[in-house]
Amino acid sequence: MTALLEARDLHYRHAPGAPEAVAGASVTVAAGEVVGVIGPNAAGKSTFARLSCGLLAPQSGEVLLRGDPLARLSRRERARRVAFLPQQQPQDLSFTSREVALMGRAPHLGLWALEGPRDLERATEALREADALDLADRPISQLSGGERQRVFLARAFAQDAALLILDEPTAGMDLAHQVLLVNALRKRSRSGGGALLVLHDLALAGAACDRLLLMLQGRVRAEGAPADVLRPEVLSPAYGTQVDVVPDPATGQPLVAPRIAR
Amino acid sequence: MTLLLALLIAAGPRQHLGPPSPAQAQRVVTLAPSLSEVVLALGAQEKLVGVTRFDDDPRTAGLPRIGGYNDPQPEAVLGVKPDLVLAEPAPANRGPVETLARLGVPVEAFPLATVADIEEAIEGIAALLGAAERGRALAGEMEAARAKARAAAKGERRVKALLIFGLDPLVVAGRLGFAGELLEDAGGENAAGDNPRPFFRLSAEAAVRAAPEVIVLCGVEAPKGRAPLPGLDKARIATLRSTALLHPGPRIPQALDDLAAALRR
Amino acid sequence: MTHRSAATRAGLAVAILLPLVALALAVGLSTGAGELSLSAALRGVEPDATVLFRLRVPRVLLAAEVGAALSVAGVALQALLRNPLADPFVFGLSGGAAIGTASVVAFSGTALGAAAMGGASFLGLLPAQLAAVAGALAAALLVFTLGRARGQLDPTRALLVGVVFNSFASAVVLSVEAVLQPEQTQAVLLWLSGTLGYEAMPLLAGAGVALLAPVLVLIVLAGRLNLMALGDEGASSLGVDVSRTRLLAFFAASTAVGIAVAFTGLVGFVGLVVPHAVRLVAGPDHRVVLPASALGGAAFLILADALARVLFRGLGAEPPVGAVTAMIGAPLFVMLLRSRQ
Repeated sequence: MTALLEARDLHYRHAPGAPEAVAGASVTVAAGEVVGVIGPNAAGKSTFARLSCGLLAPQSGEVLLRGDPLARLSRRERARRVAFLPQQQPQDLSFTSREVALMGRAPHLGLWALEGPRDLERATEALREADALDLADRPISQLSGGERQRVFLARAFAQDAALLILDEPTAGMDLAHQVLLVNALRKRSRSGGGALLVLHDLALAGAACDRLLLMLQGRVRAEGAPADVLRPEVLSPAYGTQVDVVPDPATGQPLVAPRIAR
Repeated sequence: MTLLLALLIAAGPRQHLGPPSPAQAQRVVTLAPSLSEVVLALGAQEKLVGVTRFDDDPRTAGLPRIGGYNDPQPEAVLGVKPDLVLAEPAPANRGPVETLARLGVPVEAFPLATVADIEEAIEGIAALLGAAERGRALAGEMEAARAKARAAAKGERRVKALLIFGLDPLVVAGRLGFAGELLEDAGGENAAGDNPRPFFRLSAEAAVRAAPEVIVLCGVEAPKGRAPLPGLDKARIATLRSTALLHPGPRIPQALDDLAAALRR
Repeated sequence: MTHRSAATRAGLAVAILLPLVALALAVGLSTGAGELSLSAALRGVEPDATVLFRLRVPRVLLAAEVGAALSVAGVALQALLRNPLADPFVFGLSGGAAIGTASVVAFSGTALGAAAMGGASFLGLLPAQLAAVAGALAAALLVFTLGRARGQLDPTRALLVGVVFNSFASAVVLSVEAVLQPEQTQAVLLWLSGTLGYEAMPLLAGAGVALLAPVLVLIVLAGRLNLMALGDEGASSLGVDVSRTRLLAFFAASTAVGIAVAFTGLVGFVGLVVPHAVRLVAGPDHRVVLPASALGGAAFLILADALARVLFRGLGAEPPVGAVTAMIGAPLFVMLLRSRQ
């Protein structure tokens, strides 16, 4: 079955003469897979995520969505195949959560951009999935950071795109909701969806993802199952600080902690 | 075609707008006090049915006001059911005047920039009101007054004068407008130079270089305690008391007397 | 709380505002410099019939058209700038229009002026009107070209260019005024304050049709304007061509403003107050705010104009409608701001 996302050897610099932000990175996300991208700051993770959903165009390399070159898809078609959640959300919107969730239906609407009952249903479902249904009628400007994040996540869910590309999706979320997000992603992948997550939280990365990519200076330094990538000998040189990895007592998943001597 | 004519209304000869004017108008609206003065001087007071709010002649006291010089109100004009509207062309009243013409009111526009314009206006309006005789007589009186003034000034030294209509900014009468013409009839030499416009702004420096002997103030007050123009303390100041020179119209003989007095005093 | 779809809400807004516009029309038609008997007018008695059908009706229609155009343009520009304080004239459109008009008046005695007159009369417009539209569109083009960053319209930059251009235009107009005759200065000043005149019906109909295009474009863009609130990336990821939407919205708004300005000069506050008031009641959804602002703007300007005609009626004068919209608009705006808190 065709991969949801295939990014091949992407190169990108933000301005001519600037160093390459992404210097030959590739990733494949198959249906049912949750792939995580980890790495220190300025590793090029966010840029890579943006290249993969078409917000930026690479200087060389190719991105395929379900086998079709991204460049040849219309913006609407692109939006129907991949939903992107940026790292930061606008704070001062007077739109309600439900209205924001409904915005996710945009790629499916006609000329007059009017939603039908099915769109309303999907938006409500998405809000429920993100545990934001109780926030439905409150304006975004009145929500806390974590609440806002859930609403925008719902918007991404409402897009009904098979592939989700999420940049730091758990920023500002409390633990319960982080777990909720992971479970929601897992549920989606079971029905054929996939996700590419850019994550800072390495424990979450280990728990949520089927595969991890470690990026450093625009390149993929390591790739594999969490158990293979989340090792001190792999992470310490990449992050530039000593890390310890221990298995979770209950699940055996790798938990990463930076070593900070007292 | 009417529109094209209307576009030329800003300057130039007399213009007609709208449907043909009646052979003898019975209900006349004037859009400028000068034109009201002409109608009154022609003895047609009973035909005047609407004037501007700036008309202060006591004979227009009871008449409906139809707006201002720059903003005549078409509705008010129509309300008095005129069969003729007299206007003085100006950029600001172009819109309302064209509207009136478009709505079926005959409009005659008379420029009043020069003495010749004024005399033509008097005769033209007289013809429209069925008072052609009186019109010719009035125009004749004006020319006679001018000839008399010129004769009196003949042989006398010409007095260099500035005819001032506004201080701050300084607005003077040019040689080619009616005020400038009358100044020369009365024996003055217009110090304002050769600018062809009837009224224009003069810089203080140009005024000083012009070195007028007399500064004639028309419709402006001399500021107390100091010279009205910097650098011209030596010039004699004469203030015209009557408003005859302010309204281009039939009071030219009076204006000439005032000017001559101001120059010779 | 049940969620009403955008279509329902837009329909509701129109259903509530249409009677308001009808009421405004009635008020507008019944005020004026003179007394008017409606029955007489309908029977064809003069001058009542002419006053009603050829003076008041065109004037009220013009007020409706201009009010709608300025409000809709205001909504669009506020969305583009992501700034609720954006007024249609803040982009430099007012400066451009003013320069156009002042230049025409200044050149009107010369050969250049005569040539311009010939061209303008061909379109049935006064040269000053044509110059105003040309000036406004030229300013829009200038702001759009200079206000770009990385190849697309940047809201902050465009705003800065617009504000600076307006100051420059003010200076140019003031300088031109020094050259003008006193009566010409009066004319320019009057025009700059925003006045409604009496236009011929064919011209009004033409303007109405011409305004339909930008208004329709903006209504179609309404959904995308909503999405722009999510930020460039958010909107783009939802399938919106952000730079094209900006371009279209900007030029649609500029065209609407240009047409309005050609007839009435600079009528301020309509494009600021009406969208604000509408958003306060109807929420931020542009699919509702745009049609509602069109109707609200029409009603607002009709009423402001009626007030202008009545205010100094005893004195036989009429303040320019731009002065009235400022007089009502400023305190109204302050009230709106306070009620938001």
